[in-house]
Amino acid sequence: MATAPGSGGRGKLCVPRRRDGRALDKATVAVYQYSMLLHVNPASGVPTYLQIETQVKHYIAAGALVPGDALPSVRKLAADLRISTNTVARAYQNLERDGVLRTVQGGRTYVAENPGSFLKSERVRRLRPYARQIAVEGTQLRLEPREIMELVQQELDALEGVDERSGDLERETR
Amino acid sequence: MNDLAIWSEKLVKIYPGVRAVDGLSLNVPRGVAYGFLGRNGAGKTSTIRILLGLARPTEGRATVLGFSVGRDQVAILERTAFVSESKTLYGDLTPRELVRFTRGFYPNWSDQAVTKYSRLFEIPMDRPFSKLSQGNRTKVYLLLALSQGADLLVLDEPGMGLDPVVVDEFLRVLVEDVIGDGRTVFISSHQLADVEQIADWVGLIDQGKLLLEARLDDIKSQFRWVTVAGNALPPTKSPEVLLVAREGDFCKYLVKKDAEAFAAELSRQGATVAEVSPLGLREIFLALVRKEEACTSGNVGGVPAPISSAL
Repeated sequence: MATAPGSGGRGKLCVPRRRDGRALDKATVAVYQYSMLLHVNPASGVPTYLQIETQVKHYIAAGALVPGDALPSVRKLAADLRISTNTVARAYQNLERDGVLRTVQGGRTYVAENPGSFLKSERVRRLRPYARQIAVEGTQLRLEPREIMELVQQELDALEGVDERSGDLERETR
Repeated sequence: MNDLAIWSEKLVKIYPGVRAVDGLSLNVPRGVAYGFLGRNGAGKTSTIRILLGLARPTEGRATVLGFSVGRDQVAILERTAFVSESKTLYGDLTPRELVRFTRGFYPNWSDQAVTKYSRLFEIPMDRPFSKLSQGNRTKVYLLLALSQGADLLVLDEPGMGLDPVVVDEFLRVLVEDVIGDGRTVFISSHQLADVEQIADWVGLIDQGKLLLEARLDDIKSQFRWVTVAGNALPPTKSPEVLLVAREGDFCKYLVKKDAEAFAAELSRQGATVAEVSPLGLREIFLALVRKEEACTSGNVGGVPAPISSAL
């Protein structure tokens, strides 16, 4: 699910231009860009709202989304992905509850200023269910603890890689 | 009265020799996309016909948008747009004439919508309906349905004859202009991929009975195949286990919740749990409407003790 920025999506929003042919302002370009970053696979066993949550968190962790970045409106993202507005609203609400996004009056949704500002103990508490899941699933699949740890390390390394690539992306779009 | 878009209680429709609808109780919330799924002849179209007042139920009752089916039929029809499975309209009329004919019936009709969707779907507005291709006929139906300003869209196989680009545009319109507006879409279709993409809720019907009605995201986060190798256990009658299937030396349990706990219990009983895997709508559909072979302890050199009912 965690793919590099820009590798998914429908690719139909590549050249955002206004009707009169002039290029859009920077903020609008950024919004289009993020709409394209997010993509879902409805046929997978993973709930669609969860796919969106995971991707938004992924892009923030990788630095492709930074505090203050505007996300597409619920209706816009739903229309672009052809999924129910209820699904997108649920993902945004969960991300807000987790302090990852914030919605200002008027309905625009932004990446929160300090998504990592919780106490360490709180951050650990939130991650623990995922750690447990990895431990349980890994053991179920009869992988050695060492092999499980290696996998997690590989994912951390991959995130570093995305970070570097997303640096290029930012320079292009800003 | 209730706040549901569609509600029914023990609906039964008997045609000579067939129980087309057999005790159907539906709960369709407002403002969602609801996928109404089932095989051919499962009773989908019969149900829709009852809800729209085109057929009388033999037993049971129903409401649409809070109005009683059978009693408040005009109120229901004014607020409900219907795209039927058989797409036959007055053949001599052109789409433009059909629009002029239809608009008078609906208090919330929008001419703006006609302009917007006739362009979007590239409908030849001045060619007689009978001369249109099947795809273009379907588009005319969608145009009329979308322009009614209806609170509920009932779509019976709406994608028939449409090319993938038009289907994609139509899905966007449903999401952006209908569900995004808080209106309800009740869609019956064999195109499971399309339903899975936009649906919030699904109802699965077979032989006139409702097999499953749930939020699609809940199904995805809870339904699991638990595959067991070798020492398979007898099928339990736990309400969490929907069915048991056998594949060679493996037994597969379709579990509707707490799959991890179920797998752990199987392991404790001496079985080898090979996999706990999530499944998509298509797999769930196929598993539930097919009659799966029962997996008994005798088949694979079973374990004496059945799984405790404490599960």
